[in-house]
Amino acid sequence: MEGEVVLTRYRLGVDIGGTFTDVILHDKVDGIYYTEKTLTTLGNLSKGVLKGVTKLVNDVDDVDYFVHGTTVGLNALLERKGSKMALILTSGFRDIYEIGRANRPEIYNIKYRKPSPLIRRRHIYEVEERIIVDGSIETPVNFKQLDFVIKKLIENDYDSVAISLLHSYRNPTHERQVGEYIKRKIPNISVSLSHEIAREWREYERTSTAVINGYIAPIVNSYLSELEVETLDKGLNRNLYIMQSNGGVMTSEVAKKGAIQTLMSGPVGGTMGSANIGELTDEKNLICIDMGGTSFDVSLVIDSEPDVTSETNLEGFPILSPMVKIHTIGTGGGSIAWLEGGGLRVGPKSAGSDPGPACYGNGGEHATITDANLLLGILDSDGLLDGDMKLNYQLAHKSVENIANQLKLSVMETAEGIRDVANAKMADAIRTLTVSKGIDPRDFSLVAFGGAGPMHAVSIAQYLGIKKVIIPHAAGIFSARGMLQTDIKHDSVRTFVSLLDEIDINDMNNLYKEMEKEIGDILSGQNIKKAEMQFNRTADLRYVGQEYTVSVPYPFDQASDQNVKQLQHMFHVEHLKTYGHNNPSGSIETVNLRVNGYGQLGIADNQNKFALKADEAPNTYSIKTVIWDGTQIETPVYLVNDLSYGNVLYGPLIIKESTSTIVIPKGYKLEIDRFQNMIIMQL
Amino acid sequence: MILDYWYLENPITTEIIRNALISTADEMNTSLFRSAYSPIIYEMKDCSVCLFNKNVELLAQSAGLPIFLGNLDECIDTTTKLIGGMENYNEGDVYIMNDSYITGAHLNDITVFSPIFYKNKLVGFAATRAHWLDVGGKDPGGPMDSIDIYQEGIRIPPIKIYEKGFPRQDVIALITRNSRFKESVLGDLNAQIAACRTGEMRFKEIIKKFGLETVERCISDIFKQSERIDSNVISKIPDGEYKAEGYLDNDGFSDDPVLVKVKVIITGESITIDLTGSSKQVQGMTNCGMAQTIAACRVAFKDLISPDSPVTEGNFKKMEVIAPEKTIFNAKEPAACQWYFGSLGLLIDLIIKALSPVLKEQSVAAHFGDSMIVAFSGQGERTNELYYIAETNAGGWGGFMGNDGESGLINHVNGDLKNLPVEILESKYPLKVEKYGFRSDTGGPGIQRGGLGIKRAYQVLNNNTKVALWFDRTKTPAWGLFGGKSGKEPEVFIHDGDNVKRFYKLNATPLNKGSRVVIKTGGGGGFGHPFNRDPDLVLQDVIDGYISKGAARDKYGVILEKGLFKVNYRKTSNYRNKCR
Repeated sequence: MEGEVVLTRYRLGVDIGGTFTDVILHDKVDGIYYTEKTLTTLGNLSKGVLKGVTKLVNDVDDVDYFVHGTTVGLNALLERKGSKMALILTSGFRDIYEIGRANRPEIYNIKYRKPSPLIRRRHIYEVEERIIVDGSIETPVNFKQLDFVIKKLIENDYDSVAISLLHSYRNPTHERQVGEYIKRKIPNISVSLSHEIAREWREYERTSTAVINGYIAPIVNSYLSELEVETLDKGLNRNLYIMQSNGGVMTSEVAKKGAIQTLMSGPVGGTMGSANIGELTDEKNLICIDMGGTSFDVSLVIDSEPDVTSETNLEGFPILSPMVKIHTIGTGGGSIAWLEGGGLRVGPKSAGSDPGPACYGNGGEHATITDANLLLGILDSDGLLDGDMKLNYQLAHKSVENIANQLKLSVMETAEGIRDVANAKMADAIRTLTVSKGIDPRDFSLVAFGGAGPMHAVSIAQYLGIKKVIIPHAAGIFSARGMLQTDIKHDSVRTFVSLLDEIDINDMNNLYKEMEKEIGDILSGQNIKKAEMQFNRTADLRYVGQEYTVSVPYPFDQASDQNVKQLQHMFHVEHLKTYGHNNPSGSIETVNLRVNGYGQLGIADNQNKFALKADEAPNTYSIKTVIWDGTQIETPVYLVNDLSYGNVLYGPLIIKESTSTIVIPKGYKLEIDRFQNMIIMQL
Repeated sequence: MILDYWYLENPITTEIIRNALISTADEMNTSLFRSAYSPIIYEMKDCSVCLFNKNVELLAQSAGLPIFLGNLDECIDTTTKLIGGMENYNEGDVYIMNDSYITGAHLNDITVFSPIFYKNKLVGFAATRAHWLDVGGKDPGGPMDSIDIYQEGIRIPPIKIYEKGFPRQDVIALITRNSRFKESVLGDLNAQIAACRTGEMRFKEIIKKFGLETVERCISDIFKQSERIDSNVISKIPDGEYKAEGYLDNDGFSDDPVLVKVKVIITGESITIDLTGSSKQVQGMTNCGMAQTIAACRVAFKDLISPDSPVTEGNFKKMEVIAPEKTIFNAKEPAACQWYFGSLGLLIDLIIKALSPVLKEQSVAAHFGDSMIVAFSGQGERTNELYYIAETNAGGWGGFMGNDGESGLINHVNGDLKNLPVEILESKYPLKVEKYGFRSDTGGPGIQRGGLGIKRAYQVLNNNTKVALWFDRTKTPAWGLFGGKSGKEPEVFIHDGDNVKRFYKLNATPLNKGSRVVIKTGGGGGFGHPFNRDPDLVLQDVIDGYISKGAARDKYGVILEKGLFKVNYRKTSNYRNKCR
């Protein structure tokens, strides 16, 4: 497929998942995307990447941009296979990491245990020093005592150390001193300073962020170094870009310094891709659902911007680092149907990937959503992955029959019931999410991707009163595509607590400038010219007495009384939007100042210049019996590759893709747009 | 096993409706969080919402605090009686009340509910409860030392604040004018009404989609399911009477201990919790109205039996609570109720203790038990404005079959409440924290060890600071179960120069600049005899500093090699046999 376009230049996106490595190649001349899926080569991930790439292009020299989403950091955290690390805290505060915020989110669980800490208490050390709240040094670092800690660090042969000292967001001197001293004595140890990772107040959250960074940094770094060497060997000697959790990209050089920003590198691509599709289809508000075998994730695009949060929680650990907000609200196709008190339940228990649904034939006995989809005719026994994995109809039947007998329903009624309950439940969860954001789902369109997303999207949309569903072209490798649409991004933050009425305008200006210089240097290091840089200033504000803040744009180069007034006004407006009320006479305080810096990369031209409307209807691949609302209907099945721009089809119908199945019930119209996306509209 | 169940409606429709009702309650609560003014509601989650059918049977609930478990039905029933029957509700009416002897809680907890009409027919009720910042009373926010209810604020009987959709501005003004923070409480009132409206809207959408009769049939099936889940568990508990008792240190007024006495009676599928014999209502403020006592009993029941499944009217059907009038658990006028939750943490732990011999797997040794409040007030240095900060302190929880108790966790009745970061505390108040960490050797020894209490030391940075304390559970520290030992009790020391004094409860008392307040919370109880704890786990605890080497030997019978982190198994075994 690369034959005729030798002279063109490509942009390449690669997403490494647990099972598959997705590769997408964008031809900038004709605007076409080529895709490839290879098995992830565990143990040597970069080998799988290069294998996929070389299937698409002979000469990697034709690639002028290579962006990559990695899950090595995330996997190390999820599997608890991070580095051997130590933590250094201010003396008297050894337990702040283990105590955390002392809260119990499961309010009826008297056996509640906090997430087991990434570092055991024996690996946590104290250093004598103290900076107080105004940033002044009360007790200087006791280097004699630090020598004793260093002896322990050497004895225990740690790969990584995180240092988090009280009030370092205000004055980082001590953290720097301790970090430099350790680096001098133990040159090979990876050092994470809390103020460099997250320059915000709240000692537990900042420490947790630094610990996660330290936990994954050595692993992410060695992976990136290896990938750099190998790509250099293949001639891919231009900058290698890494997708960040915040929805931007960074060079691998920068990624090594801030491993934590690679955490959500993979999943975030889907949201960015959705935002791009929204741009192409003029949809500003999108609910993005990513459903796989074991997960059901929802993210939002509001006013064409991905919904980014400055604080998130992973595996029970807080992270102060801007990330595209991904809400995990279900367990995907493996959700188990079971009985409680004689009533049917679907999820949250999941068969996971091992043993997986009954129809996988790996010993799973419980009926799952996937088993129901198989019985209903939505999935085939041939399975999904181009026939690699067969699904066993008999086993699925047996598992659902077991439930059906107890409910005194037929097997097919039960199968459809499991599917209906699951769809309604996912819709309920999405609705609650939108209520908390103060938005109405009916003003949104739904974008669905991931293996199981397109199978349920239209039904979920129906429950939510959403009229339009978009299934993107190459939905199965959508994350990789999203990565091609992003700019370089780097964020910075300073905690700056002050009443807005008493704000020191010079201090505020200086902090913004300091952050812009810091980001500017990092962007320059990634070959971004001054003219291609853009900085957005925001301030996190709140009414005095509140804990949580609202982020308000501060679109001014200078601080002046006038501008601060404007900021105040915008805060009241934003507060009303976010919480449904405001208090114009209430006093306001600043908590954090932030700068988001962008380095524009000259994003892919999205026009598919050669697209012509097809004048012929697509061929039907097969006709199969599918159950819709309790009735068997002979339903046409199409292959996605047979559909072209301009095709219009009416439900019920099923479309098969190598990684996914798209289900379109009666009462819906499907149109293929010029970018090969499927636009599904309620009639 | 195929069970022969009878359904009124298709079980699939039932499950879709059940989920929709649960998310209706979630949306009501989300709406309340989103629009409330006071951080007590949207951050501390001191609130609760419920959806009922027309018979005031609970369809779904979303609780912010665990102790608000299904206690709003009482408020609606009382109102119905007062207005002379269901037929006197009108579409668009909204009722309010906070009378402690009806709601069970303190006057700060305001209950607001509205009837739901569909096509001119009463179909249900949406109800909310939320803690208001201030409802009058002798001290801002609520007194710490009241001796009758009249000191605690405005007492509102069931009263209409919206009539057929129109607000009764005079009544609303009467209520809000009694608060020191009018704007905030008016905002919270509107948030509660908005939450009721959300419930009303979603419930009507469900009825519109499925039809009233279908919804009603499904609701019957849903109640049956909950009932089956509970009776299934209760019927497995051997019939009998199970008892436990313990003491609150005092009521904050006198120094007399306050007795809490529990008898749980299991007969077939029913459970009765009889609190007869518990202390008469007290002069201090640790009295509780009946509705909250029932709610606390339900919490214990739910903790033990079904922590995960959502609550409906079908649950607790087989549960009866007996508490004689004019006792701390069924307080009557004029008993002070500001600290109504004080005895509830102990009550919940005691119910679990009573049932532990027959519910060993589900039971948990006692936790440190109370909110452990330290409050500072005074004048800020920067703004000269008055400030007030009350800190709830974490402690150790009880061990249970399968795991040690958690260390440094906020007490049961406060649910998901978080501690205040040192960096925020120091920037807002003239205080410096000198130490925050675990208190080793405080967890009750056991096969599964109790969790550790914490130590937090404050230095007072200016002269105008006052401190108040409410520390309890020194007379009944967290007990162990099945041979497990008690956790250590709490204590507080105040250092003024060389002068050191120990305290537990203290009304606002001035401190000198430079004074130190050192609070120490208790540990949780152990589970099982400590001599049966795996010696290697004891060793790990020594390495991590959760217990000392001395405690390893004295409490756990584990002898370590001299100067080494290594178990001497032979000596350990001998010692354990000899000293057990």
